[in-house]
Formats: sequence, structure tokens, C-alpha cells
Amino acid sequence: MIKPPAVPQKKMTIAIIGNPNTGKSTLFNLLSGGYAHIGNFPGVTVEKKVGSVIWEDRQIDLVDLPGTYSLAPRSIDEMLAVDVLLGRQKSVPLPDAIICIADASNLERNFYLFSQILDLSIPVILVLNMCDLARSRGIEIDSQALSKKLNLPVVCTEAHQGKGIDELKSAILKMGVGAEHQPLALFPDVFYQERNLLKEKLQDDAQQGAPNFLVDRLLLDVGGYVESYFEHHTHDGLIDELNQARTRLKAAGCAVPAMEARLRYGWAGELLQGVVHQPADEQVTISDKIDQWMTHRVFGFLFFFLLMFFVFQSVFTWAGPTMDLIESGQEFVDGSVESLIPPGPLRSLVVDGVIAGVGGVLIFLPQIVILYFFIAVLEDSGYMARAAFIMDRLMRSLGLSGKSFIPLMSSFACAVPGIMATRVIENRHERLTTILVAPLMSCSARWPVYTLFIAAFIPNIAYLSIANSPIVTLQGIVLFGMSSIGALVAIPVAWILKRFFFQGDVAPFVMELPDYKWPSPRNVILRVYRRAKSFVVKAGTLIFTTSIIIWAAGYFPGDHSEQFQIQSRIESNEASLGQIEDQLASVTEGDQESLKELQNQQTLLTSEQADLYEKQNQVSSQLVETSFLGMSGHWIEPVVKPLGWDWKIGVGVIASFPAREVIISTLGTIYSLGGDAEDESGLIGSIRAATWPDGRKVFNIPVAISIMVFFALCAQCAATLMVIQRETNSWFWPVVSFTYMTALAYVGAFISYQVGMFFV
Amino acid sequence: MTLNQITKGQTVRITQINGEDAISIRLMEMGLIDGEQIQLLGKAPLGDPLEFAVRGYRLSLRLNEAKCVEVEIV
Repeated sequence: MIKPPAVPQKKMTIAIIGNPNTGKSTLFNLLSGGYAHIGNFPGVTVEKKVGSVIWEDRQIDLVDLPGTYSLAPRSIDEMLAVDVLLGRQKSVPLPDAIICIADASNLERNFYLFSQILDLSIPVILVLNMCDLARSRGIEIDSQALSKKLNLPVVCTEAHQGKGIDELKSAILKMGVGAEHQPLALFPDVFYQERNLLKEKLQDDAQQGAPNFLVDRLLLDVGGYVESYFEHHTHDGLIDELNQARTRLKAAGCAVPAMEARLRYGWAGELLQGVVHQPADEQVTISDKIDQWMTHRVFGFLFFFLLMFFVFQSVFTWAGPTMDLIESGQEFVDGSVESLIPPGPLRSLVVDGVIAGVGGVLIFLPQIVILYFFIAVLEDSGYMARAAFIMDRLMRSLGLSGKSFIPLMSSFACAVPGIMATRVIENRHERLTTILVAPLMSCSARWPVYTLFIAAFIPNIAYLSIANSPIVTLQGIVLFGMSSIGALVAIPVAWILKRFFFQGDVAPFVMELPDYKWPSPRNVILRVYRRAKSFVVKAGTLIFTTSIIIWAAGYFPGDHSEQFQIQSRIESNEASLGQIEDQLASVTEGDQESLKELQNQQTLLTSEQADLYEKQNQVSSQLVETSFLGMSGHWIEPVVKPLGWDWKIGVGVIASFPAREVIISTLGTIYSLGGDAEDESGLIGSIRAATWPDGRKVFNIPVAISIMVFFALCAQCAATLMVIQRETNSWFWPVVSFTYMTALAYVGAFISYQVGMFFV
Repeated sequence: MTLNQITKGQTVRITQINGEDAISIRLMEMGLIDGEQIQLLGKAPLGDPLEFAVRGYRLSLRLNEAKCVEVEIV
């Protein structure tokens, strides 16, 4: 049989929209086969998810829009969906059709958004998802009658079971390209007269014909985003005209905004009559019964804190060994490279630049994957909304809402997944506030810094001991203090952000508590995978670049030939020593002469090695001092002197920009420790011995505290800053984070040192 | 009477949403419209926010948001 040649057809764009908790992402994943291009819409913090599929030779782009209850935008982020649906979003063509997903067990409320979508001029397919759940509740829906009444395709699906997807696909394929749909227009004529008047006025502003839908929103949304948008983009006096129009509407008995909700819900109620049969009496659902426990005064809290403890315990139990594995993997690769490439600039670049940079990205993955796994499970099961419900009262005293709790708590392990988790917060300002304070939480990367300086300088005094084992010690108190200082500082920071920068945007907590359900493994795995991938690809490249830049700053412009000579010598000696050892093992008892000869050689080489190591340390530390990094350390010395620091600490701080814990190895190099800089006892000894040129000791308790406070509050973490860039889709917010946190860290370190010096 | 004053398990009828701000618009979008019945299912462990059943779904409102909703006993 000869297949007819495929008719080239125009690419189709389909927008998918619906209320939150309707199974929209599950459906999107099923339709797109799990493959989606993920990026950001320009200018907003909204994720752009596009799945490109080819069905029956037709290329179709599925655009997933954020879940929303209404198309009345309150912020630039909520405006995104409206812009896409009106074809005003330049990165997406005007959709040829809209798939509106509604929760079958709750059609009335879902039809509010649906009726707004019907006011656009794009053909719509209505999807009734979770039909099984509706049936189990005794709700019967006659979808054919509904389709007839609405005169548009209605498809019943059970996305969790993958049912109804083929029907939906064929409904999509039946949609024409560029077809028009007659807007629903529920409002009385007087409203449309006012709308047309207003539209004419906007025409004068060369608004290139504001679409009807947008002018409707301008009239309807009192204090909404469309109002402030037009206020800034049109003639003065528009707001007066708008208010006059609203007053006239009120006089005509069509007061906005109340009219919209009344008319739309009225329409939905009428439409559903005879189509949906609800059970006569409200039942107590299984979800309600679970909720009685989950939100119980005592048990609810107990369960919540046990769950959080379990999440944290899992992160430390599972992420720790994986991170160790990544580190040993990195060491193994280092070793292999060292055996292949002789000491020289290339080896330095590969080992200290490239491999260290890749390792610095991968090391974050275990925590991201594990934390995000839990977050995805909590969200998919419906518990996330309960967590916000339980914690809201407490978080509100910090000027945030319950939705910020999980992101902030995750940040105590690592700010990167914490910031990624802020996607659950729909309110833009609240989300930004959470993103900005999240890096203040004491993450696990700060611990090496704390433990090093506490072990070196804080006396181990026990205040309370039980059976000779110390329970409360000064070291413990300092560690606790350092871990809490960030969270304490976050309170006023959040307050100031809200009070002065994010004013006027009241975030209503009005939140749906969705039914509990078993999380879908497919959904959870896909989400974790997408997050991890986006971190490695998007943030990873930037973190990697930062590592290379810091490497180059520490490497150039010094002459490394002597260092490489010493290194070659050390390595050849190492090889000889190994040979000698082998020979020693094979020498027979009787051969005293050879034995002695070999032992002599061994002693000689060992002592030469010791000298070489010391020489190497000196050369390395000198090279760092004369490098760009060292120069900048000297250059910032006047700035860091009031903190009690010398230039070497300054270098350590600059070098630790990619990640806080880097300061330890940098201090190791710069205090001529060389070799294994991670060897803490050696490092403790050499920093204790460090002196200023006049012979005074550099480090004392106030200096140690000042460094710890600095690292508690600073933003020395390229990964965090890059994730902020990625999540807010702007370089402005990472710059703000870095600036304010560095300023806070400086002031905190300054106060700790200056006050501390009174007691020394 | 306003919605923050009802007791657990009580069902009331909404008579009016006060205000024209973002909160009242949001409440109306969520289906809280005069004539609609609403039931208080429970409270968060710290007494705020509250969980309601309305239009067949579960909604969480803070006390100060519930205050915007005028209700009458059915």
C-alpha cells in the first residue's frame, strides 16, 4: 500500500491551563511523554514548560501554564498566563486551542476559571480529570450533555491511571489551526458599553488595540495588575476615567468586582444543573478523617515535626555517604590525571580548575535529589498544603506565610533545593522574600568552617556534665549560636523587605486543601529529575565557570616552574620509594648487604621528601601571595583589618566565593601547610601560630568569632546565587542577595570583633 | 456575624463579602458568594488559620480573612 504523502501542516500550539491540584502536571507529562523543554518566560519568575510532540504527522507544542484559580492577574507573574492566551507573550505564538483541566469532583469552582477562558477567542477543550474520584463520591457527570450544552469537546480522564489520554489526543487532533471561538460574554450590556468606551480611549494611546479581554480585566480587577500596567503605559487621567466608569456601573446595579463572581458562579450553577448529580448530603470524606488527625492540636504538630525530623535524618544519612563517594571519585580522577599529565599548567588547570569545578557542582546533587524527592512527595500527596496550614501562624509572626516554612527548613540542609522549593509560593513578593532570606539559614557547608575555628580557638569548657560526659559545653554553645544567628537575622531582614520593598501587596492565604492521595511515582521521579537536570545544566555551568575564574586568579601571573620541578621530584622520589619498598619485601633474610643498602636509600629519600614538601609549601604559599588572588587579598586588607583579619584571611574569603568550605583549603595553602590541606590538626596548629609582621598573633577568640559570624551571614556560595538567578530569571536578585548578605556579614563580623576585643 | 466567629462543625450561609480589596476578590473567586453555605471543619493547631468546607471542597482561611465574610445561621 502506498502511503499518501504527509500534508505539511502548520505547527499547532496548545495551552494547558487549570486550577491548582487538578492533576494538570500529570496530564501534561502524559501528553508530552515526559519530555519537555524547561526554561523561563522572559521578565517573570514563571517556569516555561513546553512539550513538543508529533501526532499523526502533526507537530504540536504543548505549553503548560501555571495553575491558577482565576485569570485576574495580581502580579506580573500571574499576568503571564493572560499574556500567553492573548498572544502578547513574544516567546510563544498565540495558542490554536486551550485545554482547560477541571477537577471532576469540584466542577463549580473549577468552572469559574473555565468561564473566564471562554471569554477569550480561542477554541477550548474541556478536560474533566479525576473522574474516578468524583464517581467514588457519588458524583455523576453526563459529559456528553455537557459537551452539547457548551458546544465544545469535553473529555473525561483519570490522569493518575493514564486513562482518557487517547481520547484527549484525538480531540486535540480534531482542532483546527487558527479557528476562532465566540466569547462567552456573561455580563450585562451596560458593562460592554463601558468596556467599549474605555477601549476607544486606550486606542488613542496607540496601545495597538488593547484586546477586549484585557479591557474587561482593567474594568473588573480593582487594584489588579492590569490597572497598574495601564496606569504606567497610557495617558494620565486614565485612572479617573476608570473610576468614573466603575461608579456608573455601580449606579446601574453592576458593581465591580462583586458582579463577576456572582455572574460566573451563577452561569456555572445553571450549566451544571441536570448535567451533574451530586449526592444529597455532604459526606465526610476520607481526606476529612485524615485531616482530623493531621491538623489535630497535639498529634498534628507531633506528626509534622517527626516528619521533618525524618526528612532531615534521611538527608544526612543518605546524602553524606553519596557526597563522600563523589569526593573520593574526584580524588580518584585527580590521581589518574596526575599519573597521565606531568606537573605543569595543564595539570593544574585540569585538577584544580576543571575537576574541582565539576566536583563542586556534583557535590550538591545528593542533597538536591533527596530533599526534592521529599518535597515532591509532600506536594503530590497533598500534605504540603497541610504543612503550610499548620505552620502559618508561626511563620506569620516573621512576616511570611506557612508556605515559606518547607523552603526555609530545607535551607538548613542546603539553600539550593530550598530556593527551588519556593515554587509552591504563588505570591511573587512572598516568594522573593523567602528566596532572599533562605541563604541565611545555616546550611551544612558552613559546618566545616565552624568546627575548624571552634576546635582551634574555643576552649572546651563543660558547664553541665552527666556521668562524666559533657552535655553543655562552651564549644557546643558557640556552634549552636553560629547555626542560629542566620535564622535570627532573617526575621528583621524579612520584616524590612516586606515593610519597605514589597509594600502594598497583601498576600491572601486563601488556600485550597486538596484531597490526600497517593503520590504518583512517575510524577515524583520526573520532577526530581527535571530539577536535578536543570541545576546541573543551568546553574552548574555558571558554578563551573566561577571555579575556573577563581583557579585562574590563584594561579596567575606567578612563575610556577620551580613548583612544578619540586612536584616532579616529589613524584619521582615517591615512585623510587615504592620500588624500594617492593625490593625490601622480596629481599631474603640472609642478604644483609642489600637490605642495608636499601634501607639507607629509603632513609635518604624520606628525608629529602620532607625537605621537598617544606620547600613546596613555601613556594606554593609565595605563589598564592603573588597571584591575582593574593594581590586582591593585600588590596582588601585595609577593609578587613577592622574585622581583625590579615590579608591571608582576606584571600581565603575571596577564594571561597564558589563555596564556603573552600576557605579551609585556601588557608591551608596560604599558611604554607601544603600537601593535605584538609588535615585539620595541621591546619589548627599553623593558624594558631600565625602572626602579624610585628609578632602579635593573628588569631584569637574575637578573630575566630568574627570569621565564623562572617561565614554565617555571607553569600559565599556560587551555587546559591546561580539558583537565585535561575529561579527569579534575573541577575538583579542574586546581586541583591550577595550585596545585602555581604554587608550584613561585614557588619556582624565587625561588631563581634570590636566587642570581643573588650574582653580580651 | 462574621465567619471567624462560628464554632467547629457549624454550617452558616454567606450574606456578604466586605471590602473591595485583593482578599475579598480572592474570596469571591473561590466561590464565597452570598447565599452559599459554608461549614467550619476545624482549626490549625495554633487556632489560626481555619479549615472550611464550601462548594464541595476544603478551603483554608486566616481569621482576618474570615472576618471579611458576613454570615447568618442557617
